[in-house]
Amino acid sequence: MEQNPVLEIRNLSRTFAHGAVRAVDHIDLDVLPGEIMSILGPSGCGKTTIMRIIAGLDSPTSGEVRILGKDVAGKPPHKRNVGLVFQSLAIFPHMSVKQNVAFGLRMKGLASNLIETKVAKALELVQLSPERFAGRRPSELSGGQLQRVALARTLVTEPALVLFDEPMAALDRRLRDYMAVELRAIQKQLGIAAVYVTHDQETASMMSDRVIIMSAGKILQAGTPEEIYEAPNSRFVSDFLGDTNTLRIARVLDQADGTSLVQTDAGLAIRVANCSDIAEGAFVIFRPEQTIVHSADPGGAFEGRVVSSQFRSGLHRWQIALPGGNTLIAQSTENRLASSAGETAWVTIDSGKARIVSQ
Amino acid sequence: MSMPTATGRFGIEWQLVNGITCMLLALMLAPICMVLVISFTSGETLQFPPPALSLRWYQEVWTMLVGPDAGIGRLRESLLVSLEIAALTSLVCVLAGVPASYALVRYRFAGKTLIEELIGLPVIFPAVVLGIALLVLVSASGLDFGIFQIVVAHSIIGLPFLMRNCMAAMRGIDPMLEEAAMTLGASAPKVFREIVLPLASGGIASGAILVFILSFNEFTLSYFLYSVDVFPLSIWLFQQANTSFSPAVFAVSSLIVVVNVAAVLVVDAVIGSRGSAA
Ligand SMILES: Nc1ncnc2c1ncn2[C@@H]1O[C@H](COP(=O)(O)OP(=O)(O)OP(=O)(O)O)[C@@H](O)[C@H]1O
Ligand SMILES: [Mg+2]
Repeated sequence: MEQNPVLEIRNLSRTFAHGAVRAVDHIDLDVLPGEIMSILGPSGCGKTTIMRIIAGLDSPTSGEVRILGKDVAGKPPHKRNVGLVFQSLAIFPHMSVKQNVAFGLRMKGLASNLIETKVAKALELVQLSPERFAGRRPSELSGGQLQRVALARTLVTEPALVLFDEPMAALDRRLRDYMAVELRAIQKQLGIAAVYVTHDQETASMMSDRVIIMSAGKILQAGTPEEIYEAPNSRFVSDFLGDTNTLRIARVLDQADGTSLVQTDAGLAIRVANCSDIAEGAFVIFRPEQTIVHSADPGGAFEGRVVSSQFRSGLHRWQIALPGGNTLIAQSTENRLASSAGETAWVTIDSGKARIVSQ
Repeated sequence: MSMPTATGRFGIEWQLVNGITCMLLALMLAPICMVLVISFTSGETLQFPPPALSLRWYQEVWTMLVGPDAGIGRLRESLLVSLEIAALTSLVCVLAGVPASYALVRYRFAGKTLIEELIGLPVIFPAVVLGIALLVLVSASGLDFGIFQIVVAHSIIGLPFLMRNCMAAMRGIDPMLEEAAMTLGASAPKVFREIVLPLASGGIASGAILVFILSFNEFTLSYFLYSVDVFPLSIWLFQQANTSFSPAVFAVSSLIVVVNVAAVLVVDAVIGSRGSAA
């Protein structure tokens, strides 16, 4: 069944400084009902600019934004029914928690007893007990509690679309992961469509149905978090989603049976599951977990020298320097290597998942 | 083992600075102290130091204010008119200055820099020239504006004071608070009322009190624009000082000083309490 998108963005551009800065550069994207879509990209790639345009706080230089099928050009923010949770949270400092959450309902002109019940429900939804927190001032709350107030304040107005502009950037890793899971649960419970902006790929993978990777105002790749992680279309996307081993291809030695044997700059021969045209100067990329270390030569392995070995969060990691200047990162749940730094080790590549990208 | 240097706490420079500060303070405070002391005299003249202390002149002023006959030179009327002018001036400045401040802080438009410059400068407007100009205007119109000609004059000099306070407070408001309010369904006027006004209230209040005092004390413009019916307290004092030189005038002056100090304390409290709340 085809669902109508909640948000459609068509060919959207926004330039600053008389065209000198292209903050958003011909973007297209859709958000379906009940879906969280994350926009992932490095600082300054235009994420906030897109959010502000969707919310009506900024106007595009060209292109179209449609919400629930209607073009919203020229519509002021307060008539858009789009919620925005700011990176700075923007909790009203002169109002109590309750007054903050009630604000949007009061602006809509709801009856005060209705506001009362809705505010209490919203506070419970974000797990702030109304008895304890309703009367508190923002200055009396922790970072995580302020975050929940911001969330409640936006969700209580029941917007058609909620935008999150890195609202958890200020929280520490553990609280951020916890809030991400909770936010995800709340969003699914309410069935609201949402756009979540972040430059943290772990948060993005944890909570999104789909991810868009941006750089310098452009979308590089769109898909589910898994798709993009497994099949990045460029070195940039791959690097952005985690550690990546990159080797530059010098020439193609052989193509047969849907595989190619390529030789890297450093003279290593690697077989990859890809037999399409391989452009001059392409790269072969693979993840640390597809890089396998051996204490003895299993046959056909590359010989290298161990630079370092670490153990963290249940994973063993090695850096192996290969002759010719490349250093590979290998990762495994098992301690596969007895050798320590400076000693010799052998490396093989799980070539089924190695990919070739042109840039 | 550090030697006190010439520029240190005990150096000659420090002593010089200290001395000059004390002298300036004495120069500033001595005349006012003298007025305060003389107002408590028990004598009939302005003799200093007074022969003995008493509250008789304050009693005199009290009867002048509340007594059955209107008292010498209509002190009560002058006081009421001055309070009325000061209150109206504050009101006019707030009504005109608050929206203007917001526009200057949040929007860009032609002539903005010029206006900011005018407001930012210390008031170098020669009040005498402004007084003459307004007098000419009023006479040329042939109309009697009563109290309002002085209110307008005071508003002209009061507005920059109000706006400077107000703009400082508004600059301190995070624009994202206003944007958040918009996305929560607040139209521009509601954003102004719900977010900007409450958060700038300290600056607006302190500005308004400042303007009130400015107007209450103002002499030069009032001198050009007063009439028999609109006879501000500063003009009353001036006239009494010229004619009678009774210690009662000093008692009135002392009361004005008290009102001024009280106003400054209120402003301090308003700003202070906001500072600690933020
Ligand atoms: N008002 C503006 N005037 C000029 N340039 C701007 C303006 N707003 C944003 N930019 C520029 O547009 C680009 C995108 O900015 P944006 O705030 O959208 O980045 P972002 O992806 O949200 O970054 P971050 O992750 O740091 O928040 C940046 O190069 C920025 O300098
Ligand atoms: Mg941003």
